[in-house]
Amino acid sequence: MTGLPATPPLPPAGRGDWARLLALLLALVLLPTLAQAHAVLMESSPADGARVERPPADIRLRFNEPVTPVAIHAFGPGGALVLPGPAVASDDALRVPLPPLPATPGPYTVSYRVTSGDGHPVAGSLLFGVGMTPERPEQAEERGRNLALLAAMAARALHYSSLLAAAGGGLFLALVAPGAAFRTGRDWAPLGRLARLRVTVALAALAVPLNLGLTGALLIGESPLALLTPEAWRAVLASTGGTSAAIALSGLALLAVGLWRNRTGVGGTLTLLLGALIAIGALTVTGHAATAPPSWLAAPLVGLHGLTAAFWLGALGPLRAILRHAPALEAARLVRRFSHGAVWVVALLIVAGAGLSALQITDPDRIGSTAYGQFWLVKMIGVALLLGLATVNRLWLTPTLENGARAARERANRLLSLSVTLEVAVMGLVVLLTAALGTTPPPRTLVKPVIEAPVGYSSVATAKGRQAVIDLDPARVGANRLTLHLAQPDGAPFDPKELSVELSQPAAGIEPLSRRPTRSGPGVYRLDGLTLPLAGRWDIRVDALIDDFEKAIFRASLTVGEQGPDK
Amino acid sequence: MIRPTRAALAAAGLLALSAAILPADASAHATLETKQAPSGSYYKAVIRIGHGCDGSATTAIRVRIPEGVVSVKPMPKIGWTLTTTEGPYATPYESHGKTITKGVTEVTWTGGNLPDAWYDEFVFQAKLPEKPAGTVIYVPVVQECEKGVNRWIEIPEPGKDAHDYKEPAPSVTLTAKP
Repeated sequence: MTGLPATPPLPPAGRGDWARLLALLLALVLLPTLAQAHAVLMESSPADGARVERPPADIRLRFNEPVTPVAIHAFGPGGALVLPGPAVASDDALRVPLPPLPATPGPYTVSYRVTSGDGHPVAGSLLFGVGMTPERPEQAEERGRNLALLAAMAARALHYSSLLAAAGGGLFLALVAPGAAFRTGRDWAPLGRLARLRVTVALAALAVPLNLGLTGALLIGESPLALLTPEAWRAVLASTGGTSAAIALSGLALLAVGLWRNRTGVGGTLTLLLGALIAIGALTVTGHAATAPPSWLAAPLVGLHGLTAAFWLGALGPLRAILRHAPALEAARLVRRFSHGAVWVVALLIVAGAGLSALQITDPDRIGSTAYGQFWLVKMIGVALLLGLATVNRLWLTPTLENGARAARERANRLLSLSVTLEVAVMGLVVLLTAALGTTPPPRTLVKPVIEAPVGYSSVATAKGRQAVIDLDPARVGANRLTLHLAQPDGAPFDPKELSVELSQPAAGIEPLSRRPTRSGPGVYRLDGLTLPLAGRWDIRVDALIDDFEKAIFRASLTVGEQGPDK
Repeated sequence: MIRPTRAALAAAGLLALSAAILPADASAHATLETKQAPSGSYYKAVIRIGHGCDGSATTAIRVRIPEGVVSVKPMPKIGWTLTTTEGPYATPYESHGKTITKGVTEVTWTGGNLPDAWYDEFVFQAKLPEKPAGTVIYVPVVQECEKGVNRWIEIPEPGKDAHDYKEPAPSVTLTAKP
């Protein structure tokens, strides 16, 4: 029996068009979002733009998720400050120790760059004045960063597509066509070699460090060339990206072993399966999709999404090789076999994708109004196109390939090859968009305000070795918000057994207003809607119960201004 | 005509002041009956409970023994369960040639019921530390009620005294050794 004639490859011009279209699409949707970062600074102590009466011993930053410090710099009136120790991260808080500062008035700036739990960089700076209100300088642009973002996105797309292709190829060899080999000329060649899976695995293994290095460059906020610097690698290896890369490389190594042992049967099949699972597992430990709350749901969904996507994407290479090299009946049998499994796989893929979308987007209104939502929409168009192609393949081409007349079979083979090529192209777009989604802040992180209004008045008090930073906002007659940052003698957050606040203005004969603040984070307490009826100097007393018999009493004075103009 | 001497005036003022303070003192706060005692003496601490927590009946009295106060012996009370907690002393002390490193750090009477309208006393005996005259020993007391709790644990900060607080800790001031 002779094999079917090989389909001519798609002319190079067609590929070029796709690439150009992709680049255009990407550039259009991407540009306005380049400057956005990931995790969000929820609050800081002292607050940005605040005036403090006494120099603080340290700076505290609280984010909406756990962070790892990368680079922290502080500047005072006399230039850069030498920090006495490294910044300490615990949960979602970061403490930056400051050297002893003089009590003379002056502005201070602390710039920070951290990586969030999903491995993305967050940078910003904090301005405060000791005994003075700091003036805000013009925001400096970050150069080179945009280029790094584009390069990182491209590297991530390459990483995703090659990893999915390698893992999916392994899955195909293990599940759909174990031990398949076809005659090419005089020799027999295993399907893995015909589908160039070894090249794919090698490419995937190269894409891992490339992606890692460029992510590092992005993390430290430098140009793509920073991937050659040790700082970039230190930054990325300290984030979840390092773990993910290690997992990916071990999965790929197993896949390589599996491909090499493919002809030996069960052992090879198991190695391929395990390698594919581990390689996809790499996707579940990093990125904002896998770290979205609740993580017990998000990470498995990412794994399922990745695994099913790999099954589909990774099958395309082997399928093309089968259509080109396999005898007609064998090709029809394998295509049908794949097609059977694919229905369920695609169903799971869609379910997992829908679940992840719901976790990230949180509100249908945000699809049109955020960059993330727009990327998502374009990706969905690509997905719809893919599903359309898959439906045509399954309902018309595959049955014809199996049961049609000889001429119809040959036509079906050609069309199927074309369709698979088209699928590869659309899938490239979809993966690129997935990489873009991975570098764009999802709407769930945009729910909370990024920048809080500057605090009107700050004061620091100590009692029993403990420290309380007291912020009043806007420190005017009317409704105010009081925020307390409490710290133990060692600087760790202090969560008292009981906490109450009393405000009084003895000069005006105002008896103490007693309130209980609510906890909004480790050592952070807040009192909203605190109405202060009079301007002037208010005395505040904070009672923090250390244990049943001991309490720390913090006292401070707060200056409250007249009713300000409405904002 | 009798001209009041300055001393008499001062005495009258002091009397008026104490008259003004004492009833309030007895009814408003948890206090120690004996306000002064010689340094290093054995002291009978009588904690006076004049009311509950905002009208709610008292159900437990817990006393933290301050640093330096040793050889604590609480007095049992009918209708109340007496328990003590032992722990290490921050600074060991010498007693009859022996070094004592641990002892009672907390005394608790629980399970009773003292209505807001009634008065009661909770007693323990202890040896006061040997410190200069004028040293004030604060004895933090937690009064637990059916509803709510009063923490008589506020120790005046420098420049303030017990009257500046809503829930001051009961105290005894050391006098010179006789």
